[in-house]
Amino acid sequence: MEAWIFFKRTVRMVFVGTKAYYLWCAFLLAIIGAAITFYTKQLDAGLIVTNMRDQVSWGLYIGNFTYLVGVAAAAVLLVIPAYIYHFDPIKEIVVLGELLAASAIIMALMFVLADLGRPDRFWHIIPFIGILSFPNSLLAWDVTVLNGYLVLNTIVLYSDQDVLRQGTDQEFRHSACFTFHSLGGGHPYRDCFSIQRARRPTLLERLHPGAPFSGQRLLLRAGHGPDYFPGFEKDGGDENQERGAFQGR
Amino acid sequence: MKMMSMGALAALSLGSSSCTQAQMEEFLQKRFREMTEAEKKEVIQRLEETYLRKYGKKFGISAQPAGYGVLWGYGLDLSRCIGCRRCVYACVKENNQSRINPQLQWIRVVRLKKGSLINLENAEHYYNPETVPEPGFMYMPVQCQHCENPPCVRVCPVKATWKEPDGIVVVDYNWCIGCRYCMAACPYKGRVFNWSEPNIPADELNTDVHYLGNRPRMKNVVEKCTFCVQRVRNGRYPACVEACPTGARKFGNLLDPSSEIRYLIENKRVFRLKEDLNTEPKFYYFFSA
Repeated sequence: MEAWIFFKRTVRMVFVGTKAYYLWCAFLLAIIGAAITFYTKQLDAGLIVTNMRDQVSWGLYIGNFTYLVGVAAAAVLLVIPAYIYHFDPIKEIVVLGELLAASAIIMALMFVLADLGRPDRFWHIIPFIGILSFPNSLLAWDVTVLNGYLVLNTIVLYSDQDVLRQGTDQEFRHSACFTFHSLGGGHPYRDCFSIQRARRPTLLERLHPGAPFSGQRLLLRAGHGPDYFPGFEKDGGDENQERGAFQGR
Repeated sequence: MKMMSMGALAALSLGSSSCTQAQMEEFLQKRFREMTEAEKKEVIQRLEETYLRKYGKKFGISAQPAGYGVLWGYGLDLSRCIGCRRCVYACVKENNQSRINPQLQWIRVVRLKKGSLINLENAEHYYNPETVPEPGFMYMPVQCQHCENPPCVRVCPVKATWKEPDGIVVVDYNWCIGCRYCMAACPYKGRVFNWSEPNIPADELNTDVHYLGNRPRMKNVVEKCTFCVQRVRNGRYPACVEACPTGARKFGNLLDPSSEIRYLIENKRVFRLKEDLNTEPKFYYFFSA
């Protein structure tokens, strides 16, 4: 019941604003409308409309996906100064961070879905109904971790409503959720703890068996050094590599 | 319970009015490996009817399983290959690949400068000479290497691709969700993707097909070389072996000590591509001269 009231209040908040706010929303809705049109076209004609080919079979969709996962992880990083180092002024921003994280994760999952060639066979990947190749496929790990991450973020957001309303401290709940993040494994975990390394390749990109080899040739042609891929790290991952990683993406 | 939930899912995603019985059955179809013999028969019958409607041709779809004591291996004589790409087009024809937009080919013949064979970084994919062979160059056909430890199989999130008991790596085109992770994982670029609905002229269709091999595919699924599973399980050579004008391509059973491929492995200087990746390919390159 409490959740329903929270939901109703949130929806009411979304529909109230200034003229500029409505304009902005109309603009965003126009983009969403255009995207839906294009996606219908893609469903109809196949992924050929993306102009990807066998040489580059993962394009903007996967690029956006990894980017948004990074955004989500970075947003959650605000938890660390606020609740581990007890830096109080940042505590209110943590709520915004969590909001951003939740929406970024939703967008990331939608990008993966858009990248799927056969979304009509989506049920194949749902555990117990279809077959999720869990311990073997890293994509299965990604699916699990990201969905778990989304659930956690939703829970955190729900617990944050008190902070929004009254400014009550939610230290305990945050810590608990943060612990869950850490237990969850996967890239949110890694990104939380490698604070200086703002953005590393996701688990998906990093660990799949062919990565160092199938990607390397392509990137060498494009003028990137072999230090782009983790299999070729000669100097064990110093700060300079981050620049290379950004250019490569 | 499982069937019920899937039925509900089907109704939700397909809508009730626009969906025929056959489409519904295709949607709910299980993974090939989990089907019983009766289910396989049913699916194949339905597929044959679908193909008849779609292409106006009677297809014979086989689901012949792997034979016992068979592990297929491939040999390729680099000193004989002249880069004519007859194998490429024989393969396209035999295996019902899409002809235009996109044109899919399972074999890539890369061009290497003589003397730098070891450095695959210098391999050329795209070249168009008047005649082959060109002086100073040699040619290396690359296709699915049918690894014993295939990275593409490991990464598939829905187990739509697997290694058969006779060592052939196959795809269940009706189970693939089109995520293209296998393409990213394959170090040999052995897989290609149907970016749109395949285009095959009806009179060029090969109607002698295998369920896991050369049956016509649909859009947005991955496909690959199957060593012509429809042929080799019937005691024939793959189409590329038959098409090669110089006899550079060899094929045989690795478990048979008297086979040609075993002779080659034992007596020639063979190597496998990217052996350091521990993929254990069953595709042996060698020089006879």
